[in-house]
Amino acid sequence: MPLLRRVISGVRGLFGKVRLEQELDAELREFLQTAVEEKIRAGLSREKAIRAARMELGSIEAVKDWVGDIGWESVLESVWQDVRYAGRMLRKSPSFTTVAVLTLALGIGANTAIFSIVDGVLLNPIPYEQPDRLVSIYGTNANGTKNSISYPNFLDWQRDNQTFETLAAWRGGSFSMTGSGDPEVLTGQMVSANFWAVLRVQPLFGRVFRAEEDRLGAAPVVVLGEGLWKRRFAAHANIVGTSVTLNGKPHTVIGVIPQSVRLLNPGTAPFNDAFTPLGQYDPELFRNRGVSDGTQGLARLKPGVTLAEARANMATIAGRLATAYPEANKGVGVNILTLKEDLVGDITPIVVMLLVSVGLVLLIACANVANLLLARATTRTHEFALRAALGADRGRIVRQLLIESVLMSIVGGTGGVLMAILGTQSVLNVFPSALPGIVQVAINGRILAASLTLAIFTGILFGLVPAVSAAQPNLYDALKVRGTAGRRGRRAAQSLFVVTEVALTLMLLVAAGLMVRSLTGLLNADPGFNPRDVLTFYTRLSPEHASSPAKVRAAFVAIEEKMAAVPGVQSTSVDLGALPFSGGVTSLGFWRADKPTPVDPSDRSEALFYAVGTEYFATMGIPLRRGRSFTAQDDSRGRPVMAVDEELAHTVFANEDPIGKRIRIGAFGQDIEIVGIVGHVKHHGLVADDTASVRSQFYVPHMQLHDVIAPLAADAVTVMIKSPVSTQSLLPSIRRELASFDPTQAIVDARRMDDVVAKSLAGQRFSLLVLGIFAAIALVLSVVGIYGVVTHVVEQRTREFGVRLALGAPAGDVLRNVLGYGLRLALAGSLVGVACALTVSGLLRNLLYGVSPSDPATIAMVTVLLLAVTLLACYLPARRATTVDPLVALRCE
Amino acid sequence: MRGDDKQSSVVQGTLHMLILKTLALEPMHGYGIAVRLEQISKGVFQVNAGSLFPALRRLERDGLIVGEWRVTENNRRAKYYTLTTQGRTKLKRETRDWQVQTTAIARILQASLGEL
Repeated sequence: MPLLRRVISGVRGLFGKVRLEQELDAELREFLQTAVEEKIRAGLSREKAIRAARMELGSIEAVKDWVGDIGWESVLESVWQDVRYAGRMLRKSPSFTTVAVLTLALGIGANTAIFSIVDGVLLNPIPYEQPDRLVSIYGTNANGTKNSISYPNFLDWQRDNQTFETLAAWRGGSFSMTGSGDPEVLTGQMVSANFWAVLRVQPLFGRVFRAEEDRLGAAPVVVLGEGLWKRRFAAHANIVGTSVTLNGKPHTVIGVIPQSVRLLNPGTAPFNDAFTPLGQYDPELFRNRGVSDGTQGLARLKPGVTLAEARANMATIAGRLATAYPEANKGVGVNILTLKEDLVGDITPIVVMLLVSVGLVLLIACANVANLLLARATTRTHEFALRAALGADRGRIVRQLLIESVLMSIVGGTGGVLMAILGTQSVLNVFPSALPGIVQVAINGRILAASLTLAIFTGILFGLVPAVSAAQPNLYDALKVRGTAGRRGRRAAQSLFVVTEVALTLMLLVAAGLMVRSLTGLLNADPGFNPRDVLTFYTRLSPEHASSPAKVRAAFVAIEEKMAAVPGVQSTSVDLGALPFSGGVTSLGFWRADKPTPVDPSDRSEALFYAVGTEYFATMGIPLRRGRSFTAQDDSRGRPVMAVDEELAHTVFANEDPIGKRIRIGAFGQDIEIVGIVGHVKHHGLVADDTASVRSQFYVPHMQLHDVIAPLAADAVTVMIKSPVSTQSLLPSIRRELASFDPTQAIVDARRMDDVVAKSLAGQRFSLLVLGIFAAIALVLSVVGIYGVVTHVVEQRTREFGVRLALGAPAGDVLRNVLGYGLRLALAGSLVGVACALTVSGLLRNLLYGVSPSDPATIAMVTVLLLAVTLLACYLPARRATTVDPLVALRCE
Repeated sequence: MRGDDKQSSVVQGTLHMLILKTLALEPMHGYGIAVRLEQISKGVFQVNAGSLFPALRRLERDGLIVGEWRVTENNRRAKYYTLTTQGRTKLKRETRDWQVQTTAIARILQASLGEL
């Protein structure tokens, strides 16, 4: 094993250096001695023998060196020598080193910050076994691709599918817990029995649901989440077997599940307080094949099965079901995507944009430092020429310079990592919900390793050109006093770097500018309602109040009366139906009653549904366009009426007048007359609404809430209150009034609507903040870069300017000359930058709102800004050029 | 043969082979090897210290020879090198390769007079 032997001898050589050298020394002296004796024996005199032997041997030190070069440990030693030399050199020019290290710290620090975000968001492992085999399953139809699935369909899929190891279903649930201390509304899930088998999660203790418990009529059981168990049950060891009252029914606790089970987007509430069997959920509509209301599928692929195969298999099954049940399933398909894609798919574009921007910043930093090195190289040509003359080959010098660069880079990088840790946390504290899943920034080993690799790579990148250019001086010229060796090449390289910097900076500025305009547009966008002073919260009806549809309707009215009695409340309404901007959707299929019933279910229209109080439109500030709003006469005895939004009016009725016409809502089996048209509300969000598939909206008075949908109302009811009084002051009164209605009534998730709307823009604002910071860093770096290069050029041309001024040239000429040089660089950079920006800006399209990626106004403004700033940066060195004392310049050197 | 020229691997390898052969006859110290090589080659190969000692270090590193300090005839201490078993094997192999090469070259050189 010659390799192993070499390694061992090398290590021995590293540590036994002195002894080895002594031995070799003795050996060589012995060699010399023997040679002398031989020559004496051959007849030479002693002095002649000694001299002859010495000449033959050469220099003992040289021989020792050559012997020492054998073996890899000598390379290590010479590298270490270079490192120490580099440290000395860097210490000798502190101002250069400081600027370079700071620049690198900015560049590498920014990258580290983004790495930590990428790591947290995209690379964060989903905490289940083999997470890449997990998939989410949604329904699709003409109206969308991420619809809920219906329970009967799910049961058939479970039976018929061939590609899933286990297929489960779940939906969010809220449970009003009473009888165990303070009443509380828990957020949890209803899951099919095999749910935890999909995730391969074991309960902390106890067990999970059995198949026979997952059906109607079975004894109510519940699995508690670890968080709730610790919070409300003091981590009581004997919790299994005890009874907990949920929604008025006693449930037996059969187990406790660990904290980590959370499936929804990590930024939202965890929904892991308690879990009940999905099969025991009993509203009639739930068993209706045509109704899908919040249930989702989760499955684990069989080993070796690909996503494509699963999709094909499910498409076949969906097709079969559509033929078997055309009424419910015509046009209904299946959408399967990996769980990871489901959770983080939306933020990937933002993260990619951040990565690209920060890469640009690093390139700019590299260009700057490269320029600094090139400038510095002119002062070191003597040093390199001397070393070359003494026998260092070019590779050795380049290696030493690269080590200098990498050393600078690592030092800068260390500073940068520190800056990143501090900076990222502060930015995230400003926008805690901007990036789901990131509330805590952790710099872990992975990120540090990435940053270190980046630092080394950066060092080589920016150090290569200066090193190679510095190491090839024309020896003769360089050793002369005035070193002008390689000047033209260096100047070209410097100009190239500056032009590149400016171009990259322009691109970042354009991106930031576009984001500013996009965000301004969004902030001023009209959500369709007036969120100011509107407070909302959820609550559930207790089983007593939800026991019959009539009771539900009465409860709504009673709650509104109670809320109206709260001091400071201007208007109030209960709403059954998803809250705008909340991410939830309640939609129903419908058609025009005066047209023939569409036979094909996929020909039916769908609209967002809201059952509201008489004061809803006033509370939410939704404008009434035509007709009338709801009054106290629109109750269960009156004619069924509804209000539609402009979108529905336009889509369904085109140029006809909707008022007086009737709409048939499929699920209600009822014709409803349209009495009013209101403004459209951007339910899905300021940006998402424009491209959402279901946008039309209709409202019915909740006093006319249809019986069939009333039971679902027991789950979650939204209450909105318009009041200028602060939330702090309002809540106690609200609780008091609610308690007087029903002591078990609890408030969940009280929020101000203007906060909700503002928070929906958190992603954009975060992007803008980060992008703005990067653009600002880039601008500063570019300005410093141009300033540095122009200063350097002025210094190099000091004699020339001195001569010109001495010969009578007006100072203005010199000024214009220098400014012209700087301006030419900036212009070239800007042109390249604009060209690149136009080419690449299309990628930003998804992140922008209301402004085109190649918006000329933004590009023009940004270019002017950049040119102005760079002109300013050139002014100082230009002025210095005009104040050159000709005598001093001519005398110099 | 200067020590720091980028010697072609052929020349360097040849020196290693010659040193191994010399040591195959009997263990020797550095000067002895140089003298023996010059003697046997009738003056064609004059190895100086700058080539010899790096070669010896390399051969030692590769385990083909071992060095040990002994007392010489003149009552002085010198480092004697001995061929190892591995060295012997390598020498055999190198010698055989060399002979193959030289036979081939000789053939080509002879052939060029008539057959090329």
